[in-house]
Amino acid sequence: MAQNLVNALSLGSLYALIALGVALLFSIMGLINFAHGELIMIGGYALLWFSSLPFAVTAVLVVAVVIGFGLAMERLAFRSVRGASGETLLMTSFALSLFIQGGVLLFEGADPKSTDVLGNLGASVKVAGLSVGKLDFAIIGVTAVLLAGLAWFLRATSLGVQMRAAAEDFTMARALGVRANLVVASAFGVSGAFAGIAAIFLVASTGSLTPSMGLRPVLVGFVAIVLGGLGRLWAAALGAYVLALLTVMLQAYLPGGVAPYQDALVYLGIVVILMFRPHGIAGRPGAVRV
Amino acid sequence: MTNTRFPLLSRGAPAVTCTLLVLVVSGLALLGSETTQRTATQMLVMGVITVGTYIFVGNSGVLSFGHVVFVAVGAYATALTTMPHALKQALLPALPGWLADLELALPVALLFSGLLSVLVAAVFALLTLRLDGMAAGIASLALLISVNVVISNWDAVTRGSQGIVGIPADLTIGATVPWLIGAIAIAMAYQLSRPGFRLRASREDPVAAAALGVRIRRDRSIALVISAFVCGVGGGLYVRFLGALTPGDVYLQLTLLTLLMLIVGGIRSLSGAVIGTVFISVLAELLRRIEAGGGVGPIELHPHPGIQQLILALTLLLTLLLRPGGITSGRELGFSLPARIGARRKGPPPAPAADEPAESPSGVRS
Amino acid sequence: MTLLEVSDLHVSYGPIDAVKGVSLSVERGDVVAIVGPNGAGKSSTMQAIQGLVRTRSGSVRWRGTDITGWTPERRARAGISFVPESRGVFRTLSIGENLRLAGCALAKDADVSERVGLALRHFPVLADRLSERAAVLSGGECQQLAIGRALVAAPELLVLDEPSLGLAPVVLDELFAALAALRDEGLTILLVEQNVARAVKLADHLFSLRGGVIERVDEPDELLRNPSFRAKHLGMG
Repeated sequence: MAQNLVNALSLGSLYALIALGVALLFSIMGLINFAHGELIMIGGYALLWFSSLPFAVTAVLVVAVVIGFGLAMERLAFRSVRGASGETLLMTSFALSLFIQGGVLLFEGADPKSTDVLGNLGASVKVAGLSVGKLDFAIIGVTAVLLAGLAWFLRATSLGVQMRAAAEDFTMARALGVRANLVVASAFGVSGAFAGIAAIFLVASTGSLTPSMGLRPVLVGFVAIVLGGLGRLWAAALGAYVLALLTVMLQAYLPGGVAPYQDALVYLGIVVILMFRPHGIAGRPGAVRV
Repeated sequence: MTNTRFPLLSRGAPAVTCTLLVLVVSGLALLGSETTQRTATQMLVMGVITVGTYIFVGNSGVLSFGHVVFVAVGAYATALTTMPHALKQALLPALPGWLADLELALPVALLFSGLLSVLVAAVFALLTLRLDGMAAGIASLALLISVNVVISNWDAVTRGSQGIVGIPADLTIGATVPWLIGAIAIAMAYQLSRPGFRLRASREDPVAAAALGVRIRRDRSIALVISAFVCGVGGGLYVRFLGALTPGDVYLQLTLLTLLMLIVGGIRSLSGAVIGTVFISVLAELLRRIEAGGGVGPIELHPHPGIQQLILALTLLLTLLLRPGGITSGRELGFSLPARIGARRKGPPPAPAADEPAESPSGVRS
Repeated sequence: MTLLEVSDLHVSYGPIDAVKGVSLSVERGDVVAIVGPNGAGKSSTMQAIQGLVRTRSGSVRWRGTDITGWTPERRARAGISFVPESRGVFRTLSIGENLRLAGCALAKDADVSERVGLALRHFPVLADRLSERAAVLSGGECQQLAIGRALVAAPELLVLDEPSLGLAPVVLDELFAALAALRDEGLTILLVEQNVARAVKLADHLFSLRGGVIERVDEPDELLRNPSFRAKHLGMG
């Protein structure tokens, strides 16, 4: 049981990193960003490209590349459709996601590639009778630091307050002098940074790369923000941990015959939740910008 | 509320024009090579699926990622009811007896597939019709994933991710055209019917429509059911085109292709669905040849995988950025201009005619 | 010196024309009030001045420069502070954060804390509650916060849309006393107001807006006493 909880905490941390990246853009500009998965995928391939360098340098470069991609996405695609309906934004991100996948497919091919960034993180240590991977420690610890950092940024910096204001009422924020381009670009930057770090952890735990590897993480992100309540940042992180707990528990306790259908149950659960709470578990109607 | 002063022929004009377009393209393809004919057949099958999806998405304005579920249901239903008996026993020994023995003629199987999809659509309606906008999009996506997980693991019936092989892949242009014309006719008839008109009115202004007594959920259910039927038939045709079926064939890739065709063509009109299908099919085929080009290996091997996806995605992206209404921008192809103008002037909510997306009054757009 | 000059402004929402050729100008140091019934296009005019709705034709000039195509944030940074009818207070932010937020319209080297201090002098009731969430404020306090926040941006022109809307009479007295004090300090104010008596007291110039068309009112005091004007232009008996 305790072992499962540790696993859920580790998985939940990874999910939370992904979910926050998605939720940040959703709360500020009403965008459900499909292409967030491709940011993670690009991060994965960047890890491969820079793998000959020392790990710390690689990590910084990976995050920088992903942030760069995120900013480029905003400038080249999303800026033109800003303020359009949620569906248009969603489809734009869908198109962008395919486009990036196509590009990587062209240059890297469809075959899975493997990389071992794990190094000595693969080992595990005994803590109070539990075997905890060093990677799990790293994921949990780094995520905790990042969440605290994001909270600090949003509370204590002028840009952070501007972002929170824009998330509540973008138009009014602009009327007060908040620069729309700056706030949105910053959101893409933060989202990209989270995606880059999530990519490192994801690839470290799976060890393999494909051009379509972004799909699963981004779905996890969507599910987490729906669970948490559309448009609420911290609820999305909470949703991510709940989803991870659910996943780990289903894995551990589902009878063998039903086990393959675990994902079906999770996603069906999402639909049922939405059916009764169209704005998410913690969501309010007003919090959704449509 | 439909304008009765104009004869059915002129109100149904878009369907006639679309049919002519389909016939001309098919006729041209018949002059081409075997590969061209196969591509044209695929285009016609995609046309059925796209028109089917359009019936719901286009008329209701609710985004759906889930329509490929109906295609999947239709595809498996047709596969299981039309494949050779002996092969079925060998591949799927655990199949329930009645299904193992069932062998239907293709038209019957297709209609059966459509009806089965209607049943699934009823469950869909129950689960998602309260939702709007992005919640609806996410819910339909979640359903698509759930169904895909089920068919990927239901070894007894679907053979899981190994897929079903040996389905007769005998679909020809001539055999497919009537089904597409039928789909267009159904879509047009629905569009001209009262429920269709009401749903389009609710798409333009849900609040006003509700105030006028339009029961949106009921009207959406009707559209979903008709839409699912056509998509189910489309799925049946699709599997007879492919000859083999794995869960991946009826998943995200196909969803994307359908939405791509709809959006590039113009999601708000039947003509848009048909034009989008033709346009994207031709483009995709050209790209496939480029991908395969350079004399590297046979066509089935793709020396440059990605180019096709890259350009198709770019097409979708540019459409969304530069021409959000798609090629047709909500207009229908027709030869009865006066009827359209008349309808536009008379109906209080703009009838099927032009509808540019309204600028949001908050003016957030920079 | 003319600060703001609106000429032949048209605003429409789809087929509906909300503002049909409004022209007005605001001189530095003046208080200009626009009165008129509901749906007259007053709010649309104000929003067009701040760049929150797209103008169909006509122009808005700010200190001689055509700013019709400017974004709202650029206008805010140029010295126009806008308080919308809804107040636009950010409920999820603290009162202090709301105030400091407006500092982003100031020049880079400006001292935001000093500006906040100045604003709080006008609305001292907010000073003790800076860390509270703005969601807890009453209607009158919200209005004070909204105007105080607008002052933080060191505006050259304060644009107020219906400041008295939904406020109790006793709160109104306080509000208009504060506005009069701002006027006496030399602040230029453009406001839309349905409460004509209060508008007349505060303003140097009065315009009436009705059906999207504007008209200058030359002798506000006299006209105010004229029942046929009241009926015709202000939509009240």
